[in-house]
Amino acid sequence: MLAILGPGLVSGFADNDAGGIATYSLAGIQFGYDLLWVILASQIVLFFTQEVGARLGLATGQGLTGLVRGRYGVRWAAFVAVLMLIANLGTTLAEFAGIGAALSLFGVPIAVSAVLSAVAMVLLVSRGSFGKVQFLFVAVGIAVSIAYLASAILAKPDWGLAVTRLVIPKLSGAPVYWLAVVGTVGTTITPWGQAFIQAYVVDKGLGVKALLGERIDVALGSWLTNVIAGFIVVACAATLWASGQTNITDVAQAAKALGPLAGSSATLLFAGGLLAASLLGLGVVPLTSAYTVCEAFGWEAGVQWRWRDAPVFYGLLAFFVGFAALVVLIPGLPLFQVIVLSQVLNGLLLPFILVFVMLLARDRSLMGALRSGRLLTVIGWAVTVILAAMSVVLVYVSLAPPAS
Amino acid sequence: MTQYLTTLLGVPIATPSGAVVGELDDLLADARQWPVPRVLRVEVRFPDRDRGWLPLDAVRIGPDRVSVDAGASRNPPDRTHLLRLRAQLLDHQAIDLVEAAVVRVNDVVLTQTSAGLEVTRVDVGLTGLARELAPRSSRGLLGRLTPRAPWQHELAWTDIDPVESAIDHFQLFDAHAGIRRLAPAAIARILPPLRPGDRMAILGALGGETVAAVLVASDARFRRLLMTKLNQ
Repeated sequence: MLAILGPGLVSGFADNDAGGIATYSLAGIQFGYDLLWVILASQIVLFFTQEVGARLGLATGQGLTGLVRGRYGVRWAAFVAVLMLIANLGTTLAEFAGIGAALSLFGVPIAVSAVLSAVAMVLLVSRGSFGKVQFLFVAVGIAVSIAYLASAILAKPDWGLAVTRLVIPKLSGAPVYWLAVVGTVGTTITPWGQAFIQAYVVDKGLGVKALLGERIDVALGSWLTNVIAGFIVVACAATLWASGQTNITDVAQAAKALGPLAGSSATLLFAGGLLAASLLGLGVVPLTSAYTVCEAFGWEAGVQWRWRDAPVFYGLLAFFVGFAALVVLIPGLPLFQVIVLSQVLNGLLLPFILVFVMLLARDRSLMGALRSGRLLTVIGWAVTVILAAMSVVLVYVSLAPPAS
Repeated sequence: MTQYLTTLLGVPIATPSGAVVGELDDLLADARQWPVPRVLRVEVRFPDRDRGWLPLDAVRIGPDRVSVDAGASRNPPDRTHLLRLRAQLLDHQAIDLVEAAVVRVNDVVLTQTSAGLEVTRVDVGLTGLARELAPRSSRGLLGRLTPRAPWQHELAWTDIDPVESAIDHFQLFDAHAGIRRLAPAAIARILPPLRPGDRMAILGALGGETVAAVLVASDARFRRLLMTKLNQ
C-alpha cells in the first residue's frame, strides 16, 4: 500500500502552490469564513478529476498527450501541449513570485531567490532518484500542512463558526464573491494537476492492480489539500478579516500583517509555508510541461532516466525553469498580477483538458476493465460542464473592465 | 520516386474529366509482404463522409491530385492482413530497433519500385513532425525541402517494430522478430513507455530465458509490475 501512495499526495500538495495560497489567503481576508464551503466542494470535485487521471495512467501506462496523439492525431496533441505550456509558464512564474515574496520578508532579493531555486530544482529533479524526489515532495507537502495548521491555531479562530460555514454555505449576490468562488475552485483543480497525476502514476510503474490503493492515495491527497486550504482561510479570517484589514492584496503583505495579530511565529510559519509550497510547485509544474511535450512528440520522458537517456526531457525542464526565472527578474513586473493571470490561463485551459480526459476514460479499447462506468461518466461530465461554466465566468470577470 | 504519406492525405481524387469524387483518406498495405509492406489499396473519403476503396493500379498518384479511372467500391476489403498506414501507423508508437527506443511515427515514407509502391521508411524526426503539423497546402513543399534537412530522422522499415495495440487485428509477417534479436537490457529499456498490452505481447514473443533476463535487467519497480502481469 505504501508503495502505491505518492501521485495523489504529491499532486494534491502541489495544488496548494503560490497561486493557491494567494487565492485562499484573499478568500479569508475578504470574506472571512464564508467561503469554507467552497473548499469542501472543491475537495469532492478534485477527487473525481484526479481519480480519472490516475485511472487513465494505470490502464494505459501512458501520459495524457501521448494518448491524445494516438487517438486524435498530432494536431490535437499539439493543441493540448501548447495550451498546457502557456498555462504552465504562467504558473511557474507564479511559483517564482511566491518564492520571491516569501524570501523578501527576510531581505533576500528576488534575483538571488530566483536563480538559487531554479538551479536547485533542476539539479534535484535530474540528479535525484525517483524515490528521493518523491520523498522530498511529500516531506515538503507535510511541512506546508504543519505550517498552515500552526498558523491557524496561533490565530485563535472561531472554530464553531468555521465548521458551520464549512457545511452551511453563506451565499452572496456580489460579483466579487462569485469571482472568489471560481478562483478558489480554479486554483485547486488545474490542468497541470490533471496531466501530472497521470504521468506520475506511469512514471511510478503502477498497474491495474493498484486501483484501490491509488483511489485511497487520491482521496488522501484531495482531503489534505483542502484541509490545508481551509487552515489558510481560517488563519486569515481569524486575524486580518476579523480586525478589518481587508485591503491587503498580496500574500507577503498578509504574512507580514499576521505578526501583530497572531505573533511573529505566525508570520514566520506563513512565509515558510508559502516558500515550501512555491518550491513544491516549481518542482512539479515544469516537470509536467516537459512530460507533456515529450509524450506528445514521442521523446523519452521520466525522472527515472538520466540526462544522456532523455536529453530532450531534461533540456525542456531546464528551459522552462530557466525561462520563467529570467522573466520574473524583469524590473517592475507586477508579480501579484502574474499569479492572478496564471490562474485565469489555467481556468481557460482546464475544460479542454477535461473533455479529452473524459473521452479517453470511456474508450473501451484503451481502458479495458478500468473504463469509466455510467455513474463515473455522468459525474465526470457534470464536473466538466460546471468547471467550464465557472472558467468562462472567471475569465470574463478577470478580463472585463471593472464597473464604474 | 519517394513520397510522404502526409503529403498524400487529403489530396483530391478526380476522374479523367476532372470531377472530384473525394479525397485520399488512407493507404492500405499488405502487411505480410516481406521485407517491406506494399500498398494495395487507396481509401477514399467521399463528400458524404462515406468511404470507398480503390485498387492501387486503378489510380495515378500525382503531386497534388490522384487520378482515377474506375469508380471506388464502397464494400470494405478484407482487412485481415491490410495495414492502414494513417490509422494504424501514423502517430502511433513504434520501436526503434537500432537505438532500442520507443518513438512516434511522424510520417511514412513510400518508394515507387518495380514491384509497386512500398513502405520503405518511417520518419520519427522533426521534419516529419513539421509536415504533419503544417497546413495541407504547404506539405508538398515541405516534402520537397525537408529531405535535405540535417535534423531529419528516418528509420528503415526493417529497423522498426510497430506496436501491437495499433494493429491488433492481424499479424505482421514475423511479429517482433527484430525485438527477439535485441539484448535483454535493450528490451528492458523499451518496455516501460509502452502500453501494458504491448509489453505483454513483446514478452509473449520472447523465450522464457530471455524474459527472465529482461526482468533482471529491469528497474525494480517496473520488474514488480511486469511480474504481477505475468502471473495473471
